[in-house]
Amino acid sequence: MRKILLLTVLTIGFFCSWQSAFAQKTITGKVADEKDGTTIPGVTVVVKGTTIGTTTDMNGAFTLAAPANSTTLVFSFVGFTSKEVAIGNQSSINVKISSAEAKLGEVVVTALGISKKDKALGYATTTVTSNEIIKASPTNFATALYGKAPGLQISASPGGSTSGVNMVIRGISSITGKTQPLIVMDGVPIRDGEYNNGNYWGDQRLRGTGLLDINPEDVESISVLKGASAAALYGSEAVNGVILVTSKNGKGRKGFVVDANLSTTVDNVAYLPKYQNVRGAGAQPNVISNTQSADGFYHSIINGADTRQILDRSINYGPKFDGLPVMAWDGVMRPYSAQPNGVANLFQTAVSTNTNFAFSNSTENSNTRFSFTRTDNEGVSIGAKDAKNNFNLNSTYRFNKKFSVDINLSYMNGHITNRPYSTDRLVNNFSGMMGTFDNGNWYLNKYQTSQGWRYQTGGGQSMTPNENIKYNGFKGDLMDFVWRVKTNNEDEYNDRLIGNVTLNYEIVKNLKLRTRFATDVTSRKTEDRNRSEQPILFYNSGYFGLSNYKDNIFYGDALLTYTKKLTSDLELSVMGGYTAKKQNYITTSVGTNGGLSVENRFDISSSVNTAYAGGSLGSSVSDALIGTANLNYKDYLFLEGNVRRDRYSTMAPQNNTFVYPSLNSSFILSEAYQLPEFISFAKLRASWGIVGNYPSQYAANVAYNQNTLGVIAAGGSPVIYTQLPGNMGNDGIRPEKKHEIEFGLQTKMFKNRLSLDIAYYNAQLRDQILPLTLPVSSGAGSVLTNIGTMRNTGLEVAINGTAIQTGDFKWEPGINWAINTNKIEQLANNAPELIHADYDGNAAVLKSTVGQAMGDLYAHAVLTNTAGQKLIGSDGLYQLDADHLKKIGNVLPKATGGIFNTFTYKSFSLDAMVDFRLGGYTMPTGINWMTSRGLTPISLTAMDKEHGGLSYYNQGNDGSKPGIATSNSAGPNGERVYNDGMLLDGVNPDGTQNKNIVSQAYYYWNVYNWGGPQYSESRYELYIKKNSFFKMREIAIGYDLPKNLIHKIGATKLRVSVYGRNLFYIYRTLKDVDPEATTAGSRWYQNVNNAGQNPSTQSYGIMLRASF
Amino acid sequence: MKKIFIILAVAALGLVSSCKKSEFAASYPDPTKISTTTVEKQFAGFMVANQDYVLPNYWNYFVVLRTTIEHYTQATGWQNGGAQYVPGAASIGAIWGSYYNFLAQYRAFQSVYAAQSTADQTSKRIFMIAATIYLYDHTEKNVDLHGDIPFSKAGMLSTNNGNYGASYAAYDDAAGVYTKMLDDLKAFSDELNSISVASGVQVGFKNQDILNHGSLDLWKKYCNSLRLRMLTRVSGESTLKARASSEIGAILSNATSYPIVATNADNIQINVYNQNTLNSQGFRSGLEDWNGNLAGKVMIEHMKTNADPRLRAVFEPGANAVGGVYTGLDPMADAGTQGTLINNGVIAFYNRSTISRNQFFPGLLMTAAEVQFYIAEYYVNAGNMSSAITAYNAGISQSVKFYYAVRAISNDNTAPVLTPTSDAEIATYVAKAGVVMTSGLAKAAALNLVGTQKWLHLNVIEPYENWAELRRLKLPALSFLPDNSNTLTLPPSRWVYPTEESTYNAANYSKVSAKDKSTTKIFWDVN
Repeated sequence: MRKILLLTVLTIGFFCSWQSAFAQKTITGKVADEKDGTTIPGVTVVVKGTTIGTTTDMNGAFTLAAPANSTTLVFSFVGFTSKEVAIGNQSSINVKISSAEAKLGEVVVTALGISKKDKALGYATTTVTSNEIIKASPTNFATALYGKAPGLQISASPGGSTSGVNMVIRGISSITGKTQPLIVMDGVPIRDGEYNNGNYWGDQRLRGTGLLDINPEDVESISVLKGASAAALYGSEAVNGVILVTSKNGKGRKGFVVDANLSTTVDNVAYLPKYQNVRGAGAQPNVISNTQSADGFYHSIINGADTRQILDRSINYGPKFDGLPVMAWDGVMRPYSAQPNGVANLFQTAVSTNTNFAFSNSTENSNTRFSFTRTDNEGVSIGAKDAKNNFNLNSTYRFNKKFSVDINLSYMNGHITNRPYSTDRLVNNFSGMMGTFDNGNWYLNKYQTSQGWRYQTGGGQSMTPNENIKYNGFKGDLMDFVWRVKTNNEDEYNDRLIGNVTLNYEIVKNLKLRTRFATDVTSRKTEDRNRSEQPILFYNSGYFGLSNYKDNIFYGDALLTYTKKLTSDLELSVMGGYTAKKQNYITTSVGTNGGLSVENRFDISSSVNTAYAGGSLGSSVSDALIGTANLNYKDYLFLEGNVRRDRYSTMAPQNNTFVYPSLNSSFILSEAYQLPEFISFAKLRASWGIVGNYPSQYAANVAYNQNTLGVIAAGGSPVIYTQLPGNMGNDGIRPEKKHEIEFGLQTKMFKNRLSLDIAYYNAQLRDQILPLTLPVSSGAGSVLTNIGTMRNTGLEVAINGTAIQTGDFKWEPGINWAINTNKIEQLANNAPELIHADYDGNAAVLKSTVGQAMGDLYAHAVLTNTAGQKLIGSDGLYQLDADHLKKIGNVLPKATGGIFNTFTYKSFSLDAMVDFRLGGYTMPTGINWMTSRGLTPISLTAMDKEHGGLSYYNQGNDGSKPGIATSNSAGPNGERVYNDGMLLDGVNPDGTQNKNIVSQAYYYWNVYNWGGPQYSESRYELYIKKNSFFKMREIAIGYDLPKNLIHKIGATKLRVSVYGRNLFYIYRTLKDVDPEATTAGSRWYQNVNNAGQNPSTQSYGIMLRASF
Repeated sequence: MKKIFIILAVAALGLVSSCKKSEFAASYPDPTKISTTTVEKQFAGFMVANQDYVLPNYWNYFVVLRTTIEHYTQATGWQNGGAQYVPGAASIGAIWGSYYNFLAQYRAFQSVYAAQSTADQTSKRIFMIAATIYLYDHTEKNVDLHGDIPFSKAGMLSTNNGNYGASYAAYDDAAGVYTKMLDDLKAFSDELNSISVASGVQVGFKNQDILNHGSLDLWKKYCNSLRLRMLTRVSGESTLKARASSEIGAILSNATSYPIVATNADNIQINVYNQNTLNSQGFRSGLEDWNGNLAGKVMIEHMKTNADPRLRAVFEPGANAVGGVYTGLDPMADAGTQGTLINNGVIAFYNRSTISRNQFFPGLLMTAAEVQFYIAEYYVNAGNMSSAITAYNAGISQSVKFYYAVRAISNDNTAPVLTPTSDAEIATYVAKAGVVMTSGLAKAAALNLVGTQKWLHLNVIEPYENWAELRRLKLPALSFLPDNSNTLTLPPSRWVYPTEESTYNAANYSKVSAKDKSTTKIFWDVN
């Protein structure tokens, strides 16, 4: 392989060194890259004012026979800034040219893929380049952006490479609608979509969105368009900002280059809730009256011997671990001791590899890059695999000076086996929470019988009744999870082609036409095979299903640009254009109904009843007329105006046209005025704009569902019926609109050693589209409305620079920091509040109140009397104020950002990225329910005298009677004395001080239980906690092998690095759960309380990058 | 020349992607929906809207009934546990949501009907009468669960063209809802005797009527039997007592004008015809999962003691029951003892072939046996013991025959072959000491017999009526293990409203919040 590469390189070099023969004056030299000193083959060298020229050879050398009167040589190369050099008397000229891209930020990709000079931009954008993205070999580009752009907040849903990632720009812009930015690749909006992994009963596997298909290895840069003015040209799709992905196209590379990259990453389950390791199932007899013996165990005669088992309870306040034998639920005698890896054993170590080869070639008239990437990712969920092949071809060809064509093709072919299975039942369900004396390995041994059928319990029908599970401590939902993970098989095959063709034509001088045609086609096939649970002798079970999904996006635009110098100081440029997009999808699915008629025969013909069949299709259309005007005064004052007139098919046809204007201006202070010397660059920005957000497809349409019952009586005809949907639409709906103003300052100081970028924005979001929740007694569960106004204001700061630069050592630190303040200004009918979710029977409520930030968590506080004293109920616990809810916290973070440091010493480099989130509350209910079950260390509080427990007895040994303090070893009538008492500070309803000592087991069991005051005494106010953290997101240590060494193998560059992702928390307020564990879906209100998707992970890897 | 080609190529590419106005109009409506409907289609849509709470299905039995009404009525046996009498939010919300979706479909049906010409309204009047009778049956069940409910102003969002501000529904007084329904049903019972349905309309009505398949006779019987049930329900309530007595008398004294469901052939039920749409496939998991099909002690003991012919049809002995003995789970035993019995497979359970795995089990709304027991109660209270005995014995006979008939249509053979019953066996049962009703029996004892037989009959097949009757009569008297760990120590007297009402319908809810307690009795619950 290497030989072939070398041969190819040599061949190209040979062609490139061809030169003309009629020379009058011979000039030789070498051309090198200013950045790293490497020589550049293929550079065009021309005698100025003539067509006489040559190109550099493989070693960057040239020999040119120039006319004797030549004065100047022009060196030009695609992607590099041309350079003119005076010849004078020299016969040998060595030149260094610099990459156009290397001058960071000089040119920025903006809306519609239009490149603009950074200094002309009147709004904030952040560009993240390839190097920063691939440093730690992320599985998608979004997770590589943690902390890298001020104002862009990333949160990944647990579940590995196939689970969704959320991006929020400048705070939440829609109360209930889409909040994910528009993803645009090479100028074309691509399919992204939404996901919700918190809806266990709707979908038990974890899913993601379209952005996961984009291969980070093929990304050249990512521009984040944050404000309304920056994104104005995307109109109704831009309320959440825009992420512009530019793919690599070989521009800026030198001649023919081969890049190879190999990496291997290992993921392990991390940040699981901490378990107590002191005691097992059960509780004292004054807490639960069960069949426990005096020692707290359940005793029975098994195989003729008295055998102890743990109690068959989900609470773990039972006997302390003593290491003596006990019969576990699987019938094995084991020492009674804690099982520290009990939960982790249900998951696997995931090993992922990534291999990428890229070939690029640049010539005077073209540049081309072809890349192939093979990725094999595993998930920590047993059996979860994700294999992908990405092919990417980008090419630019210039037919002549006026006419060029760009072609981008990206093809992804993937096979996902068993998307991670939701752990909802293990986290949000008492019969699925693993006890302290329990172990995932036991479940993995017992989920199937020796004949391969589903496990059975008790006296259940089975071919192997002796194997039935019948001892205490078994968790049915946990085993059910294991059975499904191990035996339900889902294969998902994806093919996706994203392609676009762009024609650029300069009709006459200063008048340019660009047209683009693009498509994004997705085809997905899914096969589900669920094993038969029992022989059909007992019942029909198992499932086979097939489904197909196809999605097409067709996109086109045409832009005409005219530039004219009005005076010597003033340049005008105007652009007019049209853009259109059509999207349609179709899904079809068939599946067996009522089980498989032949065990484990996976085909639709195995369906016991008539097979299920379903399908749907949908389409949407949008188009827009666009106009912009730019004024440039002396290259230091810029003014731009945009207007876009949109039509969207998701709104009623008579009401679907909207206009979005914007203005922005940039003023380069450092060029207009003489500034103090330490300021090398200073720019002021100001902008204003309006962008929108249209309603979801078909959400506005009011119509009946129609269906058939088939024939339901002898001699009848099929019964066709209609029903109104449970959620009502609204034909008069308008898009949500964001009106935003923004000011910014950008400076570079101390010879570019320090740069600072500050942006302030103030955005008002009007006409918020809400499916307003209604009581069903009104006739529907919700109705679509334009009902709210809210505001986001914020400040974004980016500071970076070179702190130390001495000889071989360099330290470059930086910080990105953004604060956002959200406020609800108005709701429909002047309603004071809007309720988003009611949790667990009114235990807690998520709502937005006018005048406050969106997303307040409310819960019931402890009931107090008129004197403000806390009231205690008859059972010794606090009474809840069932009639009132109290605000505990707001879910939105106050500040987010990242701190990054790069250290370079000779050929070594160390990159460390910390991202942070300050403020914002979350309510991981499942984790608190673990406390209720006595699983967490906090549930040990006051468990005995050593843990601060009080001594007490209950009259008549009746646990329902109040606990009475005692220092004796028995009560007055010989009652048993317990040492796990807690006395709550409060008063009885009659005003007397509470003296009722309760068992700590009773306290934790009930105070952290499920349900609102109607159901329990749970204090959800204790579940709602501040979620701030500083996370060591990425560390990468790299080493560039010496050039002389790698030249021997034909390489120009060889770098080895080790990296880690999600390594540890420097600081976090949530102790027993990963702060990102509740990220369940792409809408903000889905990410508040559900920690039951998959465990979070930590990753380590090694990477080799080479260029030839 | 070249230039022209370039311009043409570039321009063509732009034009390919331009959109026409018609494409926007075509992409707006959801292709899975239609914009208009008809009286016939919306009538059927309304009728099927709550099918999962009529035909026995998973959610109703597993989520709603298994932990609530099946326990409150001791129709099943269960292992005692914490908070066991508190109905879960899922139970309450499911029924509430189903009822109001069903009502919303009725309102849409009303709108479609109102949009017809006067002539069409008259010719299609039968749809309106049938729909309203059906609505009232379910409305009665909802009042029986909660008491006051949003009704006359409820479900109006579509009628109000999406004006949600005008659609928050006020609560109607429970007794008022009953009175309104009794008034309307009485009017319908007369109107049905005089109505003429044109043959063209009848074709559509027959096809779309998923319940009675266009039989006016059955609609009459349904209407009058429903009146009988509701009048019986309010017969102890002081303000409605007199009306109940006189109207029941009027119905029973004029069988020609006011026919009732008299035999099992008249039973008002949704039949399972094919397994694809309206079916009972969820009954199996709904009843059997998590031991939801265990027999209770009181019922088994009665059946065993009195050699009830229904025992072998309705139950199966536990898998490991020695000698095939039927044992019910004692609700007063402690959880540990109960757990051992359950795990050892000793406890009897509901007959899988007759009940839970019977995929042709109908969705029952009114059964002949039930009607006879209402009649028996009327006559006992009226002191007419001979008529009471006739009705009582007929009720028992109809009940036994019902269970054997439903087994006969079952497509499941998991349970052993069922030995047929006979009139002789039924007669023997009726004569047993614990069953026999004699003319000299004291009123309380006679009512206890009626209540017990009604309870045995309604069982798990008409659970909502079973619980209502049990709360009203407190017969048979059942004992429950108090749950001292919870504020609700015994089964509730009603279900609280779902939290969405206090949350989203707060202004209207505030007027009934004082009554929103589990211990508040429904207005007819006066014993």
